[in-house]
Amino acid sequence: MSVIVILLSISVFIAAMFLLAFIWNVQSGQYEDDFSPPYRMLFDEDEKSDANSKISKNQN
Amino acid sequence: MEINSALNTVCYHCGDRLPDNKIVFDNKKFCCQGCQTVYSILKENDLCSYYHLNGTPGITKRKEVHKEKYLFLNDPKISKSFVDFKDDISTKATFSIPSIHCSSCLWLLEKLHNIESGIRSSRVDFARKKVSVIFDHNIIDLKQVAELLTSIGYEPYISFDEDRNKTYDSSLRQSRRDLLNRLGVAGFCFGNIMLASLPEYFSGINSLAENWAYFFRYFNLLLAIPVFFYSSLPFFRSAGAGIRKGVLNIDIPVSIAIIITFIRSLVEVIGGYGSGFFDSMAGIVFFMLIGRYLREKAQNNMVFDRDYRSYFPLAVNRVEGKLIHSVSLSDLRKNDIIRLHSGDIVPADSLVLGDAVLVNYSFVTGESHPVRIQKGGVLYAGGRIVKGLIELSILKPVSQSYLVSLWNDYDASQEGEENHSDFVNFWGIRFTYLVLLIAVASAIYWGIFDPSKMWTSATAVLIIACPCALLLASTYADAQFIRHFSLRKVYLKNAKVFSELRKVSRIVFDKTGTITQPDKNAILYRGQNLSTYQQRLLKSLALESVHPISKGITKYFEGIDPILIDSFNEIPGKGIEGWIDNHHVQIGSRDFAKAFTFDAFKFPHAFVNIDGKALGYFKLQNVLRPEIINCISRIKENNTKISLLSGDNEGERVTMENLLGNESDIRFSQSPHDKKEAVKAYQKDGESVLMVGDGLNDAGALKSANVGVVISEDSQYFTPACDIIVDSESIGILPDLTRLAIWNKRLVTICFIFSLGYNFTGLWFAVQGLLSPLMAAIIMPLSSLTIIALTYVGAEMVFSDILTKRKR
Repeated sequence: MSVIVILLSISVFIAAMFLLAFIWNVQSGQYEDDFSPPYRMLFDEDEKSDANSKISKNQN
Repeated sequence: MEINSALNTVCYHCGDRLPDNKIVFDNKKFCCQGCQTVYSILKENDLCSYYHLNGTPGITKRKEVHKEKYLFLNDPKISKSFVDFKDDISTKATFSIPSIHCSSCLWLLEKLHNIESGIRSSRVDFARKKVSVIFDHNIIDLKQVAELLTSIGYEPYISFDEDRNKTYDSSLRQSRRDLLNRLGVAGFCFGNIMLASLPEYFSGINSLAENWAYFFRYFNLLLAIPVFFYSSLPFFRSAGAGIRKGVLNIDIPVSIAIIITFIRSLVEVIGGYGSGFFDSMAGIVFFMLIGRYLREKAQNNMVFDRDYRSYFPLAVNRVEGKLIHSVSLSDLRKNDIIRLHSGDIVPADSLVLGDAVLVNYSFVTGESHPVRIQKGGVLYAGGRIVKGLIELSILKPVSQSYLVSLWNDYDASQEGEENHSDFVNFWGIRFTYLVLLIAVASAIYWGIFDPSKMWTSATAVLIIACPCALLLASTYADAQFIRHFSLRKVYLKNAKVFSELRKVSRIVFDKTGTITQPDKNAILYRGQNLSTYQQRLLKSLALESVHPISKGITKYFEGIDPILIDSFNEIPGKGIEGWIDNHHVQIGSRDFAKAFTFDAFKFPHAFVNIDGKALGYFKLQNVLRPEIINCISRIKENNTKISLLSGDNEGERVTMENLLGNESDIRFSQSPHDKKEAVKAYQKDGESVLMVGDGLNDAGALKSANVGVVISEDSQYFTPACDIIVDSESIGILPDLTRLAIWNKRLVTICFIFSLGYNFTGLWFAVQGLLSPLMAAIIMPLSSLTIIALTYVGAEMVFSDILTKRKR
């Protein structure tokens, strides 16, 4: 029965990690724009812009 | 949309109807050069997926943009407010683009790097309608970025007010994040407290080993601390503000309930004789915070508090010798010479230096016809230049112009934390007194019969009969209603607007731009029948002039081929004349055209004379918005009184009387001051006024009215300070506003009565001193969830009614 202390503590600790992650998300502004991400996911990358971004990545 | 493209009657880019002189390019039809230009830019850069994502996603490009428009962005003082970040190789700048409206916009604006190589990347914040562009400032500068955006139809919104907008925006964002954090903490604690309370619920204190009971209880206490000291703060603050102002708002009893619950639970746990009600407390805070968040989210990012500074441009071009510098408005001095292009706003009272100028004051005075000001005449701030390139000499600094004095009547002191309907506060307090009464009564009762139960029963009553239900119901109902309104393109400033809407007894309309469509005029011709040749002569002459009547005449003769004219002369204030094909043609005032066979009218008409013979006249008429007739008749059905206050002259009186009825109060030639005084006079008579307007000329009246409604043509380009913004296509909802606000109150009342049912059940046990934590833990969340469900379903039902009514 005493194991429940450990169980509870660990589970709350993990839940607290989730809470911290939530707060981190909120601070980074993830929930501000909920219209764009679904659409952005579906856009195609075109070859031209891939080439460009590769070049600029190499320069950095 | 499919039908349209099959018929090919709309512009491929923006969806507007195709005019006679449509442009055909690449097998597609466009309404104007602007739209076709954007299409070719996109096609060149392989970006035609723009059109595949949505039907006609483009924004109408009828407005011309001239080279000097964004000159001021080179000034580091001004560009500072747009630049977020700058280092050696790149700059990140953010522009507000009100015309962002669909996924095509999103797509295109994130592909800017395909059009312009100096741009590294761009990111759209759709909710805020902004785009952030990262570019190499060694290749292109901020001015060119703005020009690029404008050239593809996404003109950045830049106003004098930019600083204010930026701080307003970030504080709004911070308060939302704040709310989410508190919500997250409350949710985390609520869930874990309930989890740790399970042993308590199922085994009861007696059968649980004492040590374990202490462990779980202190565990709950620890978790309840952040809920009390962090998550509940918004309610405590609101209550505190209310107490300081001497206003009894509903957050006061709610805060009292939270505090009492917390204290009692503390006492029980530390004293060791109970488990407290931490789960109920955390639960109620959690649900109330959800409601608050939903309501804040439903409220759009629309700005409702604009003043004159948002309307004026950020900077103007000042002529200094041979050079032109861009200068911010606050740096303009008397006798500065500024240069304005057509479409620009006159920033300050000034003197006309060059030739006569055509100015449109409709936004300021409501007069829909442009005014011609001679050389040496005075132009007032707020007018819009209709034609050409002109130079002006400043007479007064911007802040002292006539226009600004109108705006300065405002008081910004109306900033309140309060966001609740008045009746919620009213009933919340009454209910609290009732509950206190019951608590005291039960304390007295038990004090006599069984003192051990005195404390427990009194506090239990206060916990279970929390007026939180009322606050919860109103918050959720408000959130749902605001959301439904937004879906129908009606944006409310806050929930307080509902209280005022319920009482509206009179609707006051502005004419130009509200009842009539702005920038659209119908033209009538009366007189002798004109032969085709005569029509060609008239059209040829009218083409040379930019006056609205001439434009109207040109449009009237759409399809008629003009003839090249031999000479043309324009006499200011009188008319135009010319020689075409050996015929002398005149269009102008009655005296000018020697049209004495026709009646003299009170207001200007354009009389027509060919070779010395007066043939007839043209008359400009406003075009009514198509939905307005139905709208007005429904308003009359509701027995709401109607008024019309117009800055225009009496010309349209008959039309307006036919539309609004003889019993309506119709007044013309109203200055902005007159309108405001009229509204105040109605209010003195005990009426509750809803004012519908669209521009600066209504601003004072809108602020004085009980509810100010602005009809907006293009998202947020400019709306003066008001309570509700209605998109022009949703104007049909006006008659329903009062009815919907009444339903908001009814819905809250229904929810509250429901929750009362739960409360009485709990009260029954509470007064007997028999309220167990388990019972409280069941009743409270259950009543909260019921309220959430009821408000959601209720709002859906109320608003679906609107749709069905419309279809009929």
